[in-house]
Amino acid sequence: MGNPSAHLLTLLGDTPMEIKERVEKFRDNFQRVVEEMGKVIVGQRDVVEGILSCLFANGHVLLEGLPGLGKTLMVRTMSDALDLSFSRIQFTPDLMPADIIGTNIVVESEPGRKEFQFQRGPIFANVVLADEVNRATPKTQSALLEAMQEHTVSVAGTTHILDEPFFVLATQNPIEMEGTFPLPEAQLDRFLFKLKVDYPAQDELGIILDRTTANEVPRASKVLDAKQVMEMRWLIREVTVASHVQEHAVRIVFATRPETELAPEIVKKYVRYGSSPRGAQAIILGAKVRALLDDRYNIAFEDIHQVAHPALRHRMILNFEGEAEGIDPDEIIEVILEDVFVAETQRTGWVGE
Amino acid sequence: MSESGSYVIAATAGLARRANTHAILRMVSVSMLWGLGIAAALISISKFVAIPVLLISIVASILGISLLAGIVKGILARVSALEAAIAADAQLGFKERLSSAMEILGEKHRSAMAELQLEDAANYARSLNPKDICPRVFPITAKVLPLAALVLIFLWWIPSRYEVPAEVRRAIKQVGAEIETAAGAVDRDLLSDEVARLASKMETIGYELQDKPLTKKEALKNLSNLARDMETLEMMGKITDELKGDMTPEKKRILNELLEKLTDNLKDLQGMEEFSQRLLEAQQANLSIEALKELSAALERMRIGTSDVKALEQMSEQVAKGKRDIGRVSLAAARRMDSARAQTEEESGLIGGDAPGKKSAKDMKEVAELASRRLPPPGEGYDSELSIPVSEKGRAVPTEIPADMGRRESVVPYEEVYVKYRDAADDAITRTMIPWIYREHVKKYFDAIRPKGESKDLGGQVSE
Repeated sequence: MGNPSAHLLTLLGDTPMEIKERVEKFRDNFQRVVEEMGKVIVGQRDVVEGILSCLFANGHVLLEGLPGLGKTLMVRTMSDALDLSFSRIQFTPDLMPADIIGTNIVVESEPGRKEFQFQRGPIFANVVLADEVNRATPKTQSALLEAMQEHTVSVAGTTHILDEPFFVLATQNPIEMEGTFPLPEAQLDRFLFKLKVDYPAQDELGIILDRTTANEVPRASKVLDAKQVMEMRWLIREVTVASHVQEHAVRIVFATRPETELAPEIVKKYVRYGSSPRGAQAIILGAKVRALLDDRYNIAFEDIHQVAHPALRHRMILNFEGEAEGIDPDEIIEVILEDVFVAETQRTGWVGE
Repeated sequence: MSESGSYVIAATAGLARRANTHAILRMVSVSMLWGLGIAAALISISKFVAIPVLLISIVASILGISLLAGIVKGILARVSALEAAIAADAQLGFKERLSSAMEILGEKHRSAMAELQLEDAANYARSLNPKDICPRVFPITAKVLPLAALVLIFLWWIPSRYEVPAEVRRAIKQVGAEIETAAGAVDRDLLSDEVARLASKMETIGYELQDKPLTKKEALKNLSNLARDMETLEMMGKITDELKGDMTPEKKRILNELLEKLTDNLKDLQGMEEFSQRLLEAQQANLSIEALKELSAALERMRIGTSDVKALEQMSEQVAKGKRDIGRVSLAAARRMDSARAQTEEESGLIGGDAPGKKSAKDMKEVAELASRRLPPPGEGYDSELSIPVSEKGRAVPTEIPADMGRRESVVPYEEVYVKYRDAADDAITRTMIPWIYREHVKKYFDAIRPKGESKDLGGQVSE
């Protein structure tokens, strides 16, 4: 496939008009991918857009949902629409790291001559679906997570670079806790977004049945290729961020920490650890995608508020009281957004009164 | 700077200007309304209660401080163009376009995306109307301000319940100036400590009469208290003379009366504890020779000498003159105002040099001398007709009766004068010419001045 990143350097010299065209194309392409995926995936538009936003923000996604809600199909459809190589790894307790990253095997290159040859594992794909990642042992999980972070794999002293774009979607089953190894908090932090896949609505279920129980099963067509995906990734990072908007994101992240004075009462009561700086990065990157989709070249407060939930819900560690009372991190995030936004509007809300 | 940048800056700067003007006007007007409110409350209170400091200076200070505080607050509340842009983004739903553009304008090297953002922001800036965010430059509080000022002026001109007429005020000030000058002219090095202290007190009272907005009652009361203190010291000087020579029964009787009067007066005078003690011992010892010697020694230690008595006489004369001047002017003003507020009895009592109910030792001595003289038999002496002019409303018009310069006794016997006044008062009371609230005062007045041996209730029968 080659490395699609090489041509990105040429984009630096683009004029504003060219950038404007690329932005318009970005919006169009995004919508086309969503619509194309919509031919296969019924509903779940928020999840689809969240996955795509994460892809273009160069992050990885943690999907949480009950079995049978179409998580695997969603990811596979996305890889079809983006013409990206796809692999699915079903995590089981007996899965070994070599089963993910690959291993050296002995092959006979010439008569009488044997050598080691690296056999790539399923991780060597553009889109990797790590299904039920919490069922594998921590050792196996760390092999995946290391690859997610470094975009490389090291085997027997040799480092192998993963193809770009490299995008991992991991899933967790929220109801099966026996025999599972929940991802540690430090590892959860590596996922840019955590998206919740919910049950389809009644009418959506009807459509699902129509599509999946007939002879003709819809498939998504190719809309974008890897090169275009890389271009879109680069474009997103060009979106401007005003300092007071960035400060707003910082204040939100600080408010998740119970030891800070920005934290509301609910955080002080139920949260043990707040978000790391990765949370702020996730918010800004996700907000940049939202801004471009909204035909803007700058981030607004509403962009930040739209991506705050997927960016922070897996980065707040509840204390025992929070877990015992079944507090949803989304509730806490909602309170934080209201508090910080009210404080922001009070700063200049008086103008003209 | 690009055209887009200029549009953005112009729009946000215009908004900031309008908002800042509004802010300053609002802060100043709110602060001034507070100040006017406090001043109005103060002025309202001053209509019922005398405030011992110059009211106009307080009101001016309050308004000045309010204005200054409002200006300072307005300056501190000013917003920058960036803050105005943030407010515009929030209130008009521009989604942080203007504020982001303002920040980009500060960058030296802008990316192509940043230029696009500027263009986008400029499109929105063109549609920005500062009036959408700041509809009014003049806040409502500023429009209410003139009305509040009018209310304040109206309150100022409402007459106070205890209003001092202007001419009385002037008279009080004039008296104050004269008293202060007279007290200042006294050479205190030649005086005893007590008299020097009294001279300083006189100077202070003179100053207060000029500086403080005292009512005529307060002014007369201050002067009366001062006069009483002067009389006390004067009496002490005269007692010193009385104690010299043989103690006759008559002298003893007069001395007893003087000492009794002095005991009351000394309560209010400072530094007289030793003398008061000797005085009490002398009275308890029935003016025994030893007690009188002690008293005399105490007086000698106070060193109230001839120069003190002279100075006291001069100061007393000035104070008495001041009281007469104030009384004359206030009576004239009261007559003109046709008001029943003139407290004739108290003012007459105060003008006469005495605190209510008390007579000076000098008067008592003169009364005592008069009482000891025999009146000329009927037909002898000098008869004269005494006419009392009465106004249409039944009030006696103050009239000066010139004394015969060559005689040492009154032209008309006191008893005759008293009887005619008493009859006029009785007539006025029975014909309801005197308001009922003042009848008791009139009655007390005539009771106080009736000759000994005669008693009559006004409106009743004469009894002897």
